Amino acid sequence: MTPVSAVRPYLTLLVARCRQETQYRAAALFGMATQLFWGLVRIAIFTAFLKAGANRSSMSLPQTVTYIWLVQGMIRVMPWSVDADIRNLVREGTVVYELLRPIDLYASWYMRAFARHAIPTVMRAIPLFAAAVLLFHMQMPRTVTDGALFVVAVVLALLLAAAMSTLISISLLFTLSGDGIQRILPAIANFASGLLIPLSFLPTTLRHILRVLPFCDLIDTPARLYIGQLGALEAVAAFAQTVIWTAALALLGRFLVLRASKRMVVHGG
Amino acid sequence: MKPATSGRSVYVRLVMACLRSQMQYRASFLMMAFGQFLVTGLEFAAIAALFYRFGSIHGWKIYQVAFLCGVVGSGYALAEGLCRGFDQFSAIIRRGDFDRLLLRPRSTVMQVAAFEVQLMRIGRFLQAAFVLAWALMHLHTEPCTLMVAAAMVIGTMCTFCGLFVLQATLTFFTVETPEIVNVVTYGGVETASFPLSIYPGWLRFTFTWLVPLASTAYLPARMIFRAGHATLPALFAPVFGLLFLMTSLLIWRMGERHYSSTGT
Amino acid sequence: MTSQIEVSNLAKSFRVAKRATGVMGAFGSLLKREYATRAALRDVSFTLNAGELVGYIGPNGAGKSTTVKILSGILVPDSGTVQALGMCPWKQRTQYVQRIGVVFGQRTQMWWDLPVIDSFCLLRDIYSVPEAQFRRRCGELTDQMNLGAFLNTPVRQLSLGERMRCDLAAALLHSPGVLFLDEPTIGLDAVSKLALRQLVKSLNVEHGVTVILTTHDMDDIEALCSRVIVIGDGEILSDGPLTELRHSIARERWLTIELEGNQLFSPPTNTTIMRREGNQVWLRYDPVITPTPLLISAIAATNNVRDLLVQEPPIEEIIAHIYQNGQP
Repeated sequence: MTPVSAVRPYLTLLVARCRQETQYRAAALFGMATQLFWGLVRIAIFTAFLKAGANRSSMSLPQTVTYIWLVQGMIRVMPWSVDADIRNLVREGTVVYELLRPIDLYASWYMRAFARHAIPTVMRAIPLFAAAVLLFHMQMPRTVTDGALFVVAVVLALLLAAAMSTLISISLLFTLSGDGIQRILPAIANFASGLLIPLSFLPTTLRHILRVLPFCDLIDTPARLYIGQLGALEAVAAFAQTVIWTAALALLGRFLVLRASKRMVVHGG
Repeated sequence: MKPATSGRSVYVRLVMACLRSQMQYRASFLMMAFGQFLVTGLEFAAIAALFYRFGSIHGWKIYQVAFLCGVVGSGYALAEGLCRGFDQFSAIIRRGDFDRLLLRPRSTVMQVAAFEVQLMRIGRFLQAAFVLAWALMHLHTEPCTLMVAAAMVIGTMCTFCGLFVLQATLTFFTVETPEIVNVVTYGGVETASFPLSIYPGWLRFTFTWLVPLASTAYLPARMIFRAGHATLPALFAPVFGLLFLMTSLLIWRMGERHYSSTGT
Repeated sequence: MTSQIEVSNLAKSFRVAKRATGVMGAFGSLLKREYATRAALRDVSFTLNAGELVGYIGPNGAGKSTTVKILSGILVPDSGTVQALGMCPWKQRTQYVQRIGVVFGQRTQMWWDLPVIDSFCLLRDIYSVPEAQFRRRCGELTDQMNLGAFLNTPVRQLSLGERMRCDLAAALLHSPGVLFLDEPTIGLDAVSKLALRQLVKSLNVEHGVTVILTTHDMDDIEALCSRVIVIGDGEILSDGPLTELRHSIARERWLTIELEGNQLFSPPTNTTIMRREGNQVWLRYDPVITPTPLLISAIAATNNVRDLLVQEPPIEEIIAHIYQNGQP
């Protein structure tokens, strides 16, 4: 088999999923309105804090506002929800048939997950950023380089998020721990990604720990690139870290799929 | 004929049945309760981190804001626990389960409220209760303050129950309730956890006059902190939460009539 | 016999929202929607007597479930009146539903994760059944429906047949005078279907419960119902005993002929060949025009016949005929 024909089914799968995701345009618009509201509330909160101690801030007010809009736009990067279709497959026991198909289970679930994060993110982020820049004091990136690095970081963040999301889907195959990881991973991700609070506002030690974990690359790293807090060299280092984490999580996922499928074959689902 | 079993005791039995069902999946329940605890716990950790760096917000110290967070969080968790059926109502309608409730000789409000009581919400409640207790320990607290705090929690709970009821009523008119409705509920939790004075006018207006979260949380808290002790107005302000709930139940009745004249 | 349910001139139409397409459409439809009106019931009247077992049938979308919803008090009609058990179902809903039972074939009313008996106890509380009466009734139903073996099993672990029996018992705990059964045999295996039919029959005969049965399964109708109401496009197409329904349209008979070997066969006049397979031939004829004895002797005279069989067309054929033509 040539490499191209080996990859083709997965590309077809990816395109089909992406096309399906674009159907939810109305949901994306409502989602955007929701995110605008949240953004305004959060901006009011952070503004009040910054006014109380501006000298203690590591980010200026415009930077903070921009950071918040970036978070609101990239909310769908977060690996929160379980893929409902996969959950039904597992619940009804038909997941065994997935293993019978002549394609790699991990790769096909990964493609689904990527589409599930990428398309809603693009559909929500672009109009939201446009509205925020025009109406609500979001800044444009200072240089073209910052903007370009941001785009690269978002793409890497989506690849990483898909790996995390796939891991959550796989955890469904292990019922008990599945329940836990589905709840606990998103909770930690909210905090450690910068979604709740820009990581640079956290105490130094905690910040250093969180910046080594993979979650910061979901939102904090792209946002810091956008507002120009990272130099080119730091950017490259951050990208390398994202890629390494993505690869590690993907390997872990493949390993777990292998174990789960062995178990299913033995126990018959 | 007066029913032999009172509506309240049927509610209690329905709720117990829900809890017994959930206890069949004990491990899953523990995980989910812990997950809830963690989600809101980390949210509070983020707020604490902001105080650690910036010291105060609009003149409010961390314990004062923690007091608000605790009241709003536990009020919300209670409402979610007791009125989850209203929150899930569009699914109840879509599955046709509401027709079944109409076929029973009991009030639909009671039946919907008891439809799905989720014990795992206890995770969120415990987290909020811890924060509230922690705040009360560090604030100047007398027995009267505790009473006001209890009134605030109940008032907030009523307000969120009212919001869930209104959200459910919307389902009678449009089959799908858009995600945007969550803005008022989840958004209400976030907004009301901070002093209302930090927000722009339209937001203050919304959560004072449309949804009375101001009078169940922010205003009584401010009265206590200004006076340095609990006051009578602070004790009675949360009554607006109850009024809000009663109004929304009236609107629910109207919605129900609309439903039975249009079907689905 | 006294009339228990009187339905007169019931009409109901629904507004169906036209779905807007596209993003702006979705937004727009929140503010202003365009509706099309669709009549579900046009003019429906009938009277049911106490103790009747009536089949209520019709194609999908004919207005069956609308009628059942109105009769059970959860839907208000646009016009028309219903007097049931001396009440108006939708005006006195809470009192009325206390005295009826409803079983939906596709949905259980029991608590999924709890033992069957727990659901019964909850229903006891919901319907305020006095404890002594509940115990007696529960015992009766358990014996009659043979539920003893799984009263303590969680509902989710029951087979569909067992669950339907429990659901039937659950609907009868408060001793309703009228029972609505909405496709009760859907998805059941042959044995469970027979068992359920027998139960319904005996409930009707022994306890005098009035039963209104909607179904797509004509075997249910043949086995149970003395009277059949056929509804189509919101109007009643036919109402009467099953035999009458059969005879009103179906004078037609089917004759199956088994020939000796693969010989030629030409149909006698006024008959048509429906089908031929090897040495078997299916003929359709009208016994009034062509009396059966004459037809048989004519065929026997000109062909080498091994066997003959005269049948009435199956009930499905009759119903399909009514659905298609609107009139019997």
